[in-house]
Amino acid sequence: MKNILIPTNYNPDSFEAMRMAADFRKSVNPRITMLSTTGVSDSISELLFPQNWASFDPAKQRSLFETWSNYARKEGMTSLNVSQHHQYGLSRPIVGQILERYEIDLVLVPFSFHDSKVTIERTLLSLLRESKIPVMLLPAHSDYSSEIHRGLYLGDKPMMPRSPVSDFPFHIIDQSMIPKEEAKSVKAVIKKLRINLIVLAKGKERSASEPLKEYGLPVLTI
Amino acid sequence: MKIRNKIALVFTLLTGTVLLLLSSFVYVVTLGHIHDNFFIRLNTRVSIAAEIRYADVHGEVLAVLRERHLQRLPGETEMFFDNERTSPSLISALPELPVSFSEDLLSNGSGQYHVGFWHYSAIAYRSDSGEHVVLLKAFDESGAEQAAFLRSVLVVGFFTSCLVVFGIGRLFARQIIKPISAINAQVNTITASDLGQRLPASVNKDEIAQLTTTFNTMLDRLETAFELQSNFISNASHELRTPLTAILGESEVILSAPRSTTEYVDSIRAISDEAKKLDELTSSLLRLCQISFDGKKQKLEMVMMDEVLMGVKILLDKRAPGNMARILIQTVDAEPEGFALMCVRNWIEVAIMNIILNSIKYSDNKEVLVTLTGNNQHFMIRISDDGIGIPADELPHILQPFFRGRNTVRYDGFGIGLPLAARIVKLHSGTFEVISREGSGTQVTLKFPVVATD
Repeated sequence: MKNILIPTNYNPDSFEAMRMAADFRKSVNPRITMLSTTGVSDSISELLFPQNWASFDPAKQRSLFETWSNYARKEGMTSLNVSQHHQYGLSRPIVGQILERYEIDLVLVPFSFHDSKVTIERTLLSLLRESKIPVMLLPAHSDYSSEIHRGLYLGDKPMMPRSPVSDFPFHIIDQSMIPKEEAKSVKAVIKKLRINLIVLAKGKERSASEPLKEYGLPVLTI
Repeated sequence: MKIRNKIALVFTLLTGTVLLLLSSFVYVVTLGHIHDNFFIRLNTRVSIAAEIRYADVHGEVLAVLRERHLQRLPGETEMFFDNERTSPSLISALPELPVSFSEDLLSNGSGQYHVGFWHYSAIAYRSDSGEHVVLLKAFDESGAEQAAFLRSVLVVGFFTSCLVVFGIGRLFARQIIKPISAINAQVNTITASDLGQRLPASVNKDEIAQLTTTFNTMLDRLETAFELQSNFISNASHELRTPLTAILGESEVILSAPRSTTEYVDSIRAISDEAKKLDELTSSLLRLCQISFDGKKQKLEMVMMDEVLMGVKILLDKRAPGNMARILIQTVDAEPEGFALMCVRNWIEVAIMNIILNSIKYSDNKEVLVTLTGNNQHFMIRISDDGIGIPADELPHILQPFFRGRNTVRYDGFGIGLPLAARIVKLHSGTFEVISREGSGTQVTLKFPVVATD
């Protein structure tokens, strides 16, 4: 787990995603790539007379990086590699190329991006979810533990033996691993085992948004 | 013989062989050419001699022209054999000629032969008076001189070239060997007490640069090994000395004056406790040495890791009653062999037990989570605790025997458990990874490749 992608509109909660990525850095030394995007219009007139195309506020961007710089300096992370990529227009191959180019092995999605109503951002999120790369959605509040120790895998079927569990620097516990008398309800398991991450299999059976709202914990889809 | 001379000699031998072959070829081809040229001259003369002798009309004119314009060849001798079977006459007249010469003459009407630079040319000539054979012999003085000159040029050229090539070869070999000689000189200055020295890195990417890098890497390993050994000896001496000092001190104090029975019992108990520590330490050291040196001699068996973990839990409950270790194992109905490992069962149990006991100890008996999970390539045992953690700057040293973190002062221990576990895991082709944050906890991951079942 070396290279982490953060799709962002530079809202302040992107800082939480960066902080979490940096926490992974302490163990596995990641490179963080901030990905922002702007839709390109089909209309010739709009293309000839471009307005302000950026879908984010540059002031927010500056503010986020200022906050990050102060934090990185304080925590001694000045050598951490953070890069930015802005993409005009999107398609499935473009997203695939970005993931390949930056050798991404985890996508961290801040809540503001996940909750965004901007079409191009929703498209990006959808394409990232459809890729093979694990995607982690972060909750709205920032009081979840930024240090992930234990993930609980929720699924109708047991965790597949081919899942990349060994690549994550935290425990992933399948429901089937917990004795039946302790696994009466998910909330009880979360409390008893001090779970701070929900893990789901990629697919359409279950939306990642539901457990995000229900348990208030980050949700990782693998 | 020095490599420099060997290289020069091989170089000279190769070049000399090529030169010798080339010189021989040039000499043989040139000699053939000289003979051919002389035979052309001789053939013309033999025809003229035949015409002068047997032609009725122009004989005398030709004789005058020959005397006036054609220079006589050295040793030129004409022979005529008239109206008789020529073969026996020729052989008797010139015994040095082979039979094949007269046979060629009879069948083709002409014959050529040379012995050294003596050349013989004969033709069969038909005139009104009958059949005749005209033979001319002469010595090719100019050809002999040319051949001798060519021979001397080639011999002198050959030996001179060989000498020059040997000289250049030596210079060339010297240039090639120079960096190796420099490395040799530098390595000779490195002693066991001065392993910090390194060979200067080469800017090129040739074999010499590779040799330098290999030497430097070897020196790195040697230096680390020497340092580890030195640390190990000093730490081991210190650790062994501590309980011994306590035993000696206790016994001296108790023997210094008469004591009550209770005091003797207390003292013997204290001595016994210290002796137990000593025993535990020496046993650990012995095991560490055995695993370090006799790793290949132990009997391997196929073991299911989930069974091992269950066994470890039972042992753990005996050794540390009231422990909060929780062992969770992934369900693998589809691939039951996924957690199989060829290993020395006792050693793997010792390794896992040591790590879990460390986690229990340094988290003050808080919950320790042990999970066994896997995919189709690896399976993984992950052990995590919420203990005191390891300071970041000390993480690189935790696998050195006797190393103990600065935040472990209030905990008993020798600093052998984790290095021992890591060695056992490495012996079984596994990887040993530690993620830790001071004050937050430690997570140890043992990763083993899945055994191929087919």
